[in-house]
Amino acid sequence: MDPLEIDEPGRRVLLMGNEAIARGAIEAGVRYCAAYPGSPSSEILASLARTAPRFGHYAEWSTNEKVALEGACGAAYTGLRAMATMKQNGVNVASDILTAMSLAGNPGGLVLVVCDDPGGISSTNEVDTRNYARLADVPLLEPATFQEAKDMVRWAFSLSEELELICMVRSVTRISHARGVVELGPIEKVARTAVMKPEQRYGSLPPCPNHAEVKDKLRRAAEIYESSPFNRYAGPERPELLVVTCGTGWWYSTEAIRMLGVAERVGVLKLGTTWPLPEALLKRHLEGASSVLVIEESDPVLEYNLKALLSKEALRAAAPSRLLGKVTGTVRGAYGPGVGEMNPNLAADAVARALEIEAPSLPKPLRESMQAEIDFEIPKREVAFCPGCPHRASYWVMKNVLRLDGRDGLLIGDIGCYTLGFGRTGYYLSRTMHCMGSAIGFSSGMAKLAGFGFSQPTIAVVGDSTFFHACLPGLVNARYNRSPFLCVVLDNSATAMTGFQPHPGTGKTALGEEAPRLSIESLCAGMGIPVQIVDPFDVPAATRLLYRALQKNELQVVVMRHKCAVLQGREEGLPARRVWVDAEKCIGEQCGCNRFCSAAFGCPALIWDKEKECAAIDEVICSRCGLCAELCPGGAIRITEEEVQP
Amino acid sequence: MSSRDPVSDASAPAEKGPRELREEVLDRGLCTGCGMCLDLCPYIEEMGENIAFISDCRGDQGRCYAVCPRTPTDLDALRRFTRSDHRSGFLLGPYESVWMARARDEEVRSRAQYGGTVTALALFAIETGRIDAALLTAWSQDPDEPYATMPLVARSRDEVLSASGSKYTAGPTLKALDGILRGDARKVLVVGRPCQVLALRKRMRIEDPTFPGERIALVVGLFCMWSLSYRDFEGMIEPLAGGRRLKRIDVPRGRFIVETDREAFELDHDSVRPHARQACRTCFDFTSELADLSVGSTEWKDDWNTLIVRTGAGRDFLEEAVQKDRIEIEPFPKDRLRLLEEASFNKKKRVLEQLEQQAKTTGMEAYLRLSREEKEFFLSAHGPGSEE
Repeated sequence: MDPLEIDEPGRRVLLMGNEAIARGAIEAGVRYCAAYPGSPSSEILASLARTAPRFGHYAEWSTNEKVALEGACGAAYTGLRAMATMKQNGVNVASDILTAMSLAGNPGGLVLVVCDDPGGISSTNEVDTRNYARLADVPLLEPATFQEAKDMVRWAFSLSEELELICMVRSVTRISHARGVVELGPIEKVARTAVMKPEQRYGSLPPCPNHAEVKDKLRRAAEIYESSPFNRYAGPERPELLVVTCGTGWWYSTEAIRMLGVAERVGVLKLGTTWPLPEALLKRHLEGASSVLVIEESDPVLEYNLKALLSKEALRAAAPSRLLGKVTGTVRGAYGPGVGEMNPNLAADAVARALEIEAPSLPKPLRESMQAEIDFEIPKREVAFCPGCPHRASYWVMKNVLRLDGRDGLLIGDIGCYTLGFGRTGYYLSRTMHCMGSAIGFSSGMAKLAGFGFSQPTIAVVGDSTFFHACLPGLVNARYNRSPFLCVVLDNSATAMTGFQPHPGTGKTALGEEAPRLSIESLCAGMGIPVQIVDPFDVPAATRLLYRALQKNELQVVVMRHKCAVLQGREEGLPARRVWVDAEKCIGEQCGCNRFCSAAFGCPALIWDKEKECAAIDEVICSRCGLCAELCPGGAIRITEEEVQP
Repeated sequence: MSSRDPVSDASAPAEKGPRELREEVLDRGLCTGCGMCLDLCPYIEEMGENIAFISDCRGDQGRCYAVCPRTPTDLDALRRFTRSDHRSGFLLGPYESVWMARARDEEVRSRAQYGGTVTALALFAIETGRIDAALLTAWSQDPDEPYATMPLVARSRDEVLSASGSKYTAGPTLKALDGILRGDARKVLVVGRPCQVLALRKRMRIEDPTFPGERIALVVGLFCMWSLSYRDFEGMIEPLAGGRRLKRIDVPRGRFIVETDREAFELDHDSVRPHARQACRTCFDFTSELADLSVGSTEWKDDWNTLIVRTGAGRDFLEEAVQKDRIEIEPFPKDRLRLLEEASFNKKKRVLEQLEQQAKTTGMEAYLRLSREEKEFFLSAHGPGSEE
């Protein structure tokens, strides 16, 4: 049975952090859930969509994060409990409505769960979204354990209803994507009818009275926080050093103290409610602590807020003589303070620095300790498009077209699987890579610069999910302002990078229902933009089409359409054929080839057989797409129809 | 030596390859668009008559460098290889004789440029079984590229006729050569611009004599003063032709006339010329001096061609065509020959001076390697008369 569906309060189950978050919402009787996928947040909505039939809530993949939060907000206006989930980049997209709607409040419990990615493990940035809590004047909770991830989300709904204010819960990769034991709670049976009554109105005007009201709400939140069980202290009664921490910082601090053997000297105050800060609680713990060290993930948010608090007259007496953290450089990683992900070693270094003791030798990172055990070098694994990835074919075509065009044309990219076009697997072709849809905006600007001497043709590359997420206003802008560039939509029929979630072009919803399939080409045609469709696996046709398009100085869209190889494999299995190298025909390293397949095209399944001195195919990873057979100059790569043992 | 062997050619240093081809030729805008390297190498591709490395080849040496008409070119060695006669002097390159020539066939004459000599030669070769196919340059059939050319492997009268008429951009026709030879054609006739004839001879010289050498029955070279950049040509033609297929282009004595299937229009010759490919400004040869037979306009009588016989193979072929009444020839008037020589002299002198100047400024030796005698002939003299 799905552990999320077990209705046995007290039962202990193993849950991924994101599942615990989903379970918290289920226990709170959530009715409306919306999200745009993005690591490390995607499994929350996936879990809620999976359990929707059992609990009757609604779950959707929205077309972007702003729409997701607005949808949840709409549900909360009707009195339902609603939740929006997203990764840190998504909050930037949703920030417009977040900072507006907080001023007017909401009757139904509304929770925004954000999963940050410190270190940018699967992101283009490592933005600390806790800054948004202060920016938008909303209460912030930070779980440190999987149990808290569930319990805090559950509690966030009642807090939101008590304050009539959206409540933000911030997780990070190591909470969201790790697993731990969670004790289940009862599932609230909330029977509410969604209705917006005639007297209900939500507007942020006039801003100042509304703003003042939110400040009042936050003061009330701080009072509630004073007795929250999510804030707790462990350690000696009068510690020599007080560590103030939150989220994963609590794990790392606890582990650091154990590694250093300084449990008698160091106390840990763990805060779960980090905005606004519970003043009396902090005062109580700070009094008598001469040294305080703040350990937290990403930006020194808690640290700054604590410093600001200590400047108040009432707390001045409690101010420690030393307040250490990232500002003082006591907590710092390889890139300096406030940059990169925290870990137990960094916390131990910081505690040792604060105590002015020698740090004992700390455990080595896994890769280093494993390397010490074996007598060959662990191969470095390069990020690359999967074998058979249609994006490799598209990038191959775009590279060839830009080179053949010969005018130093630019490929302006953004984020999705095609982010990899920034690296070797995409021939280092992408010249920009920031956020969804920005390729269109950048190109729209650059293509207007002819009057300033700019003559490089521009290809803006976006994915299919990105197209719906953030490209439409940019294309409207380009059309309206007559900005002449070529927009290529890489349509692999999936939000592949984040785990194959459906999107408006796939004809399926998060709940697995049939949905209208939105057509990228019809949308473009509706804007009056010439649009053409080509299969990137037909390399000659795609090359010709793109080259011709690039010669025209006008706004155009080319959809390069071919289903993601992984999705294709999952849905229909691999084709019953074998792709293999005829060693007799392989030209190999001689003039006329020079390892064209592996050195130039570079599919990971194409390898070099050192003994035979010819190309070879790694059949374990080959997706049998057969594109290499078409590109092979010697006709040595062959395809034979046959059943192949998996 | 098989076609896979590394290059060993005295005139093209064996240590050079793709990197140098890019640095010395492509990056400097010296690619003639001949197409010779394209079929030899998967790293080089062509689109819209632009030729580029689509990926970086890791090789240190390559046939791409050795066959390029703008890499070091030992003209005397190539003349010896072509077995063409040297006694004719430097002005028009080695030749045996010069003729006024034209097709006997009225249909050929009406469809082809001037006297239709090239078309008639190709038809004669195919119809008498001397060759299996002729590699020609025809107008593209691609509706997206109505002004482009394409290589045409002609095997019938209709196909040969469909390729008749001069083209004024640099179609990379030679890219189709290996495809024909790897196919079922045992003997082919190749028609090309001077740069293509040069590339073809370079290729034949470095590779096995049986491939492609013996398979090429006859090389017919065209007269060519310059080829236009396709992108520029398209830009000039499009507003006038509006996407209609081109039927004929003629450049008679300082005019530039274009005919579509609906109408004819004229471009200002002087404003067209600056759009010639940069590579054409470094071309020393406007009469295809390494061909077996060279054919061009007379700049005088519009239904005749100038025909230069350069090799024994060319002479034998022409004699038969005349004997079989396919080609009509007349002696080339001395005063007209003088004018042809003068045009050639002026181009050669201009180009040589420019190459010398470039070599001085860049410190890079010019691609053209001439004997001291030949070089001095052009650099010190003031006109063709001083040869005697």
